[in-house]
Amino acid sequence: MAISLQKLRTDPATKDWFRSIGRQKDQYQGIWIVSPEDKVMGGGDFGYADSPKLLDSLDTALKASGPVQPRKAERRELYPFRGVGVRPDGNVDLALYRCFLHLGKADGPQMRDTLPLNKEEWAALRPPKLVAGAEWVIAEDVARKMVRPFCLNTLGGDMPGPEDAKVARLAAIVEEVEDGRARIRLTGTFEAVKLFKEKHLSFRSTATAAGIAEYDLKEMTLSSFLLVFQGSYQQGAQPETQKGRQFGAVAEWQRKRTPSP
Amino acid sequence: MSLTHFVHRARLFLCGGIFAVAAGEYGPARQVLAQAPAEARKPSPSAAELTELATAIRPSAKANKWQQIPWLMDVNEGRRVAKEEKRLLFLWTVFGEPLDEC
Repeated sequence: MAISLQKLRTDPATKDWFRSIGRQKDQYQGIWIVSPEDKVMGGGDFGYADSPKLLDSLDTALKASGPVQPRKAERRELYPFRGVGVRPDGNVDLALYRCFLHLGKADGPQMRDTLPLNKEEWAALRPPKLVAGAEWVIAEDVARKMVRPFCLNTLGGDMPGPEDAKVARLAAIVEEVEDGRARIRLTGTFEAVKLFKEKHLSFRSTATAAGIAEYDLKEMTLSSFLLVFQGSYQQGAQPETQKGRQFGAVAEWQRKRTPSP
Repeated sequence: MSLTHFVHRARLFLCGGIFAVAAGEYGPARQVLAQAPAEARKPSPSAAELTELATAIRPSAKANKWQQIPWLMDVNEGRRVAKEEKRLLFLWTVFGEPLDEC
């Protein structure tokens, strides 16, 4: 089971059960291995590099509980619209990824997230004219939402939102119209600042963005969208004075799912 | 001081003054140009370069294998299945959405 801690703690159907689990193994979040009789057999608040400890904990719990046969489980898409397709109501979910960078390579864990855009916001990314050289500036309220991947963690409870965007400029140009497709170039400049009472959590991110998108002239719809951010992340009291760390982020979407490897 | 010298010195002074003013006026502009955002000076990355960078930022297919697990997102359903199949329950919970945030 994979469940949000907030939901687990507040849902009347689960909060009492979770409280009894927490009493047996007191940790804020992480993994609990629980018997069918609600006895905690293992677990821990494992970090990014703790997979050996997690496997040890699983082995110990399995040894104590006795042998089990592997489950017959089939893969299913838990978020079928994440980064793919248009929802029946016309809304779209951009898939987000972010990580620290060092010399153009990921430096630490790569994180995932989703940015929902409503029908009107999604329409702002469509070219107003389908001719090469047509330029437009993406509506600022849409550009401001793009700062969501500007923090590597849910510091203080929330990812950056439009209200945290201090600079959000995203412009586009139709680079070429050929074979029923318009190729679009995107460029942008962004800054997000979020200040918390707990000053060590405050952060500032600045980034430039470059992207490509394709518009299908026959279907009259975007067929792909890729926006790549590169910038600097500062965290701590008065974050603008803190040492910056390079980060990268991706916002992407495609009309049809490509087969999984 | 002769009038010639005075005019000469006055010219020098004026020229120097104008130079100083010009330096003050245009110096920072040069500095601003020199500090123009990197993106203004760099050519746009090619589609291949963008794809390569995006690949470095996204988790690899190997790192995404946990997504192939058919996670249950309902505690009571999980408890029911655990009892029915006499299995241990693996509960993963975090502040946020474990399958879709961080």
